[in-house]
Amino acid sequence: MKLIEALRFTKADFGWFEEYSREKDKRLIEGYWTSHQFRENVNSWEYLVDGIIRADDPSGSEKVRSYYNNIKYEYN
Amino acid sequence: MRSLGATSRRIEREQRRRQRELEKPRIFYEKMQEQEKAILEAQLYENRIDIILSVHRECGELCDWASIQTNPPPEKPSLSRNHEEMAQGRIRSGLPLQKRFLSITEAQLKYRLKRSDIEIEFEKERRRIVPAAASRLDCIFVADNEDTIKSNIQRSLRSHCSRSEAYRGFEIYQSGFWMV
Repeated sequence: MKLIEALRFTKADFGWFEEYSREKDKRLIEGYWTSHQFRENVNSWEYLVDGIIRADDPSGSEKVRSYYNNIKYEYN
Repeated sequence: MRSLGATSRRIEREQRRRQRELEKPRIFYEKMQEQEKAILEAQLYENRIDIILSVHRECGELCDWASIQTNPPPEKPSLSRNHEEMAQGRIRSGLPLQKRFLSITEAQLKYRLKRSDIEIEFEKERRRIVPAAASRLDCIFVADNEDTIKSNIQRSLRSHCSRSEAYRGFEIYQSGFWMV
């Protein structure tokens, strides 16, 4: 996969997100969006990109295709 | 006996007379039908002959060729670029693509909204805390040619982002997938 353009890029710790699903505390959301690490020595960073990524290799295409199909399936 | 025989003959005569009376309108009716049929046929025939002969009697509107020749030529129609300009305007503002995106992504957005309230809450808070951050919400964008992707999608995406606070998603393209 190739990142062609990134209009916005954000690094956030998914741990905050998971924790919020257990305990509804707005401070958890703030921790997520201010890019703080949720737990030391635990790597659960995710990278959000607003931009264009091209999957021009077959495996990448298939990965995105399956993701798309799953979403459709879940929606239905 | 004589009087009985006379009576029966009289009855029979009566019946025959009655029969003749009843027959009269039926015969008349049949004759009428034949007559009407003949009239119609005659009318159709005359009409057909009329059509054939009308070539020699009727002609179209007369043309005054001399005045046509001396008249100035008609004005050249001026080209209006209204629609083109409107379309260009829409492209510049990113509206057509955005519309297309929205129509395609509606299901996806609905899905996201339906699937996770947490994601929606995070999205709302993102707008409040760091509006410049990339969104967690995904949506699918589809484009049908490379030009669309290269020239318009980024502009449309910016426009889309400014209005809808930046969605993340991916775009399916003929030769592969484009994630935006």
